[in-house]
Amino acid sequence: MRAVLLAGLLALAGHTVRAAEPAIVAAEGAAAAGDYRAAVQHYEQALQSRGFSAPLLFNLGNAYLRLGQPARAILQYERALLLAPDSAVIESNLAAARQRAGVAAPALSSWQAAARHFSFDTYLWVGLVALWVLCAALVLVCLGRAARRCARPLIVAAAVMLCVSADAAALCWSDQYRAVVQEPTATRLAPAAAAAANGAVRAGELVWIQDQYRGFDFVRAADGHSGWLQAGSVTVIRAAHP
Amino acid sequence: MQVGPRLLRRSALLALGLYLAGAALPAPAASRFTATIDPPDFNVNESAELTITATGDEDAVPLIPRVPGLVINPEGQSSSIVQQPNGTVRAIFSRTYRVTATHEGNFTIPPIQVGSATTVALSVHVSAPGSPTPGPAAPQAQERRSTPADLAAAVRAAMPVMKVLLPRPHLYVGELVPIQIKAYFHEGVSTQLDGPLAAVGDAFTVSGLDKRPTQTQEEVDGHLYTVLTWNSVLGALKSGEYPLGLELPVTLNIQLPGTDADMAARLRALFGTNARGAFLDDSDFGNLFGRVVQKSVTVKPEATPIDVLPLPSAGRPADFTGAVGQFQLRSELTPSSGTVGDPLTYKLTVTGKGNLARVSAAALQDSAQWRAYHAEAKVTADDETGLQGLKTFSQPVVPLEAGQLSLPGASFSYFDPEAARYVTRTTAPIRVAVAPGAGGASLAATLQGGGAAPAAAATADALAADEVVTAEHRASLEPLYRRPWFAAAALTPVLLMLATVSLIRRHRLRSADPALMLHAARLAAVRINLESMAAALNRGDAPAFFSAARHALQEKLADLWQVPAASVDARLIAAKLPGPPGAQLRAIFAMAEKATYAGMDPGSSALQEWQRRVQAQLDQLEGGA
Repeated sequence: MRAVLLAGLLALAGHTVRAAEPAIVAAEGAAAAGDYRAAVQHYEQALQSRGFSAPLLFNLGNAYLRLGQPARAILQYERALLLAPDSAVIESNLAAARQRAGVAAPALSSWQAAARHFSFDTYLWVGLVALWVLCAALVLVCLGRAARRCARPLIVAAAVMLCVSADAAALCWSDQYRAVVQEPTATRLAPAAAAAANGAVRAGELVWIQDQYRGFDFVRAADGHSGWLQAGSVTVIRAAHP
Repeated sequence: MQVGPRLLRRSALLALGLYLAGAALPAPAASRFTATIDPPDFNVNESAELTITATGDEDAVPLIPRVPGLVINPEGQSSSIVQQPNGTVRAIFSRTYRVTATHEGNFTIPPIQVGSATTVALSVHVSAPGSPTPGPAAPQAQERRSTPADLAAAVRAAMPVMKVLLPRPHLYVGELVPIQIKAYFHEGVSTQLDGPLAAVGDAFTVSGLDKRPTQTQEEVDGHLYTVLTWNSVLGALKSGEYPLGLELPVTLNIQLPGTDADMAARLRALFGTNARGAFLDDSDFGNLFGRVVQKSVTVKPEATPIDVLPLPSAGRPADFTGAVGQFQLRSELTPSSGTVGDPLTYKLTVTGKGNLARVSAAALQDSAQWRAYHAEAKVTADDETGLQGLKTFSQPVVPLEAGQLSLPGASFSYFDPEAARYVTRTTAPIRVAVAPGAGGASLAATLQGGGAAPAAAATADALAADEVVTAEHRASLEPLYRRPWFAAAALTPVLLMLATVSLIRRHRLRSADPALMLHAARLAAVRINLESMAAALNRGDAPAFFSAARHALQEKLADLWQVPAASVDARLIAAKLPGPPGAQLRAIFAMAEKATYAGMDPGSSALQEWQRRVQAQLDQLEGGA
């Protein structure tokens, strides 16, 4: 029994501390040796097999940036920030990648900046917990006088939490449609290759996908200008799969 | 011709001239009312038409006077609106009445009051039936009908003229010049604009046609014209000789030679009953009162070609992008000093006259000392035409090193059509003091790097180091709400709460139901009486035993029949359960009475048998319920 418990603890420790997968070991080795092309390949392979994690995306972004592909690095850093929104090192390298790509960080209002202190998913979690508490408190209200006394502050707290998280999530709502331009390309007036160009976007620029039509994405850039891009030109940050 | 009619004719011409001059002037505020009758001579079996016309911006119902011997009945009314070239709108309201006579004779319709004004009096001659009446085809008043030649001549005479005033006889491709477009309308010809002035053709662009033209009066060769003027900007799109295509749709209200019955009647109303023939004898006078026809025409300028010259290829600077005009260039940096890593704004301003939209200046490029970002351009026009103004290019730049840095000068080339040569404007380099930033004296190392591994290795320290990859991972970056389990987790508490609350509510409702409460009390009473029976059996107390048995059965039956327990007795049982089903119950009740009132004691073993019977009856009643 004790042996089984020890084995379980060791397995848990190994799970949270380090993932000694061959692809990651190879990637770290390649990065240490300065072979960033090989590092990118191995990190991408690990991403496919394991899924997203903040350190993995961060290291992949570093490899891309050192390989001279700041647009791809920006994409990986943005994804890493979704999983670790408070990470200063990711922010720092993202700023460096943006400078290298010649693009500026999108300007945010004070409200939007405050709302992004936590991630969108965090607000969803908070809202979910608040919903559970609110429902439990409403049940308590039906039980009796003493229970009702306990329920009132719970209802107020849960309602406040629910409202705050809903508001913050609404402010962050557009983040789920963010995408990073991978190649400098012209935006078009219509979703057709022959349509006239009405502007251009730079590699690494952050855009918001607002519509999709037959292999074209209608995007709005941070400076407000919008147009149609071929679907492969931008990569959405909140990807369903690696 | 006699003297009297001649004097009268001259007076009438003078009056008509004044009348028409008044019509050519801007619309007066007050309305003018006239009354005519046609024909003024008719016999008793015929009728005449009385017309009262109001011209202006006011209408009123006429007060028709009573005239002995005449019957005047209203017949109808109409209104129309005429717009003049100067935009003035005049309304014409017309009412007609049918006039018949009861006997022959000369009648006078007194002045008719219309609003605050009155018309002139009208004379009517009614002859006997069968007597000839002077008709409109009388020889001295033979009307002359208009011919197509008259109409064409009248249209030619009334046709407006359009002229385009250019500053120079030739232009260069891409050049913008201010022009004046003037449309001349003959004074006295009522004209209506049917649409805006529009440019046609693909050789030129004309802007500013959508603006309201200015209106003036001009005299040309002794003729007075109303002139509409558009101040526009002409742009040449391609080289060659092309006429400038402009079109202005208008409708002309043209007066044709000849008379008609309405105008003749108006003449008689104005100048007396018998003046008609005298007026119409004079052909000039008849032409003044000709019929009015509407003619839609398109006014175009004379098809004089404009010579558009190509831009010379000789001496064309490499950075020329198509700007044509006269421009100045200046640059500035705000703030004038900075810190490493902090952005400054480099502003390049092109001012002048020409096609500002085609003005583009070379943006700053990245260097070892500066990081340059995307430049944004903004055009600000100084005048309505947009020909003169300034174009500003704002470009964020970030110093990468501390010290006395220099931003390179900018250059901009354009073609000057006045001098017929290319001009290049330049600005001097800007020197700027840059202080070290928080991260050190240089950001350049951070921004260096490239595809080659050695270069990357050299800059590895500038970036935050790689992190240890743990086994924590997520299969997807999609938001939580798109996952089914999250929706289930959000729905579950709501459903649980609803289920729990409904259960509690149901329980409370049941607890508060009087029927259910009575039912429970009676079941409890049955249970207590059964226990009393058992206790009495143990004591051998027959009266107490049967009393408890009767009470138990009373409670049970009262619960079944929904009656008070005290009202359940042998009689009620006989009524509700006649025959064998109620026999046992009645026997128990009879035994209970005997034991209570007669002191009968059946013995211990018999009591046990009675207890079994009571229990059996209760079970039977429970099953029956």
